[in-house]
Amino acid sequence: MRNPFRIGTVFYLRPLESDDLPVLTDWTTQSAIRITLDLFYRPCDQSAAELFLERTKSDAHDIALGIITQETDSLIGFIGLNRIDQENSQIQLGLFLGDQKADGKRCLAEAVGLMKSYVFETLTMNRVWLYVDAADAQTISLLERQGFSREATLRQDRYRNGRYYDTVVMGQVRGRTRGE
Amino acid sequence: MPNAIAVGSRLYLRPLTRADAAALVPWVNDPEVTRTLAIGLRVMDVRAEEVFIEKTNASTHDVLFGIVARETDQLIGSTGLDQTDFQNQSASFGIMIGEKSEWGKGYGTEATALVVQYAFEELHLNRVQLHVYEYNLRGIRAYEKVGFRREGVLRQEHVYDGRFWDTIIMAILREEWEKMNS
Repeated sequence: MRNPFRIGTVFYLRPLESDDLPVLTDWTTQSAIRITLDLFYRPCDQSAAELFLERTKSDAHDIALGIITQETDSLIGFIGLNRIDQENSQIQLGLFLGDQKADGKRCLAEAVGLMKSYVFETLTMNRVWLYVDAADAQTISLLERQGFSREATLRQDRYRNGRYYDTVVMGQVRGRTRGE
Repeated sequence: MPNAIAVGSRLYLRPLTRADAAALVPWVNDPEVTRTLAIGLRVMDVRAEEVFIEKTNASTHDVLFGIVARETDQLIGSTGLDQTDFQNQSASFGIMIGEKSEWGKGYGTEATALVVQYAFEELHLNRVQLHVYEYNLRGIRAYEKVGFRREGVLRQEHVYDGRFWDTIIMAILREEWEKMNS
């Protein structure tokens, strides 16, 4: 494991480095990812990805981590925090799985679990939230199992490929997990 | 109505300038006014307000208006759009009626309707959204009158007066606005 920030059972999280850029750039060309990400609706070459990485690293309100498989030490996804709002004790989570062949369910569950613990226990935030494509039932259900609730559906919130898509806001408040 | 951009029956909207900063500053420091605003806990002086006005006016993603009562030609508040997203054709709405003697007269509703009209007719947007704190019942009523619909509740999203409060997300779509005005 190289420079691990949080370690799970199958995956670990580490800061993104410049040698991750070709992988990140490659992901942005995949149509499934382009539709769900605000970030990459414009063409993204390596220098644009580099700029994104630099900006994320230099902004005290952002944390960007790669999701890495422990077995092969390969980058398969991205998870990050931004819009740290100290005043209201909340933070936005962002994630995507770039490697479509990976075990998405397990990977996202583990990465989200690690970040939740970081948000609530280390940063001592009260609330964590994220945007999810309303049509992505699998991710919504996975997040519900992680204790998130659907809080709002933003109608016609995103425009991609000639049509509008709804976005779901999912949130979790400290101490409230499934079954409580 | 000098420099009016949008005109309603009892008020009009005009650009704000540096010269308006002195009128706005007492409002943005008044806890009774700011309790419904998402402007944080900063202390604002005239210089800071001038910088805010100039920065907002220079931004291509923000639109800032002064709200002026037609009868007296007096500035009573400010309103506008921010986070305008031309890719997704959406923007976030915000409003402050700073002049407390003018509260409860329906000015907020009228100004909101003018900004929504501006968003759909001038900026050609598709969606206008807003965040309103659960205790701002007067605001919620005004937004509902204009045609905003509740899209959800962000639990414990806001800290005010020593506790967490929920924030309601409301939005109006172009198709809904066109239907109301057809």
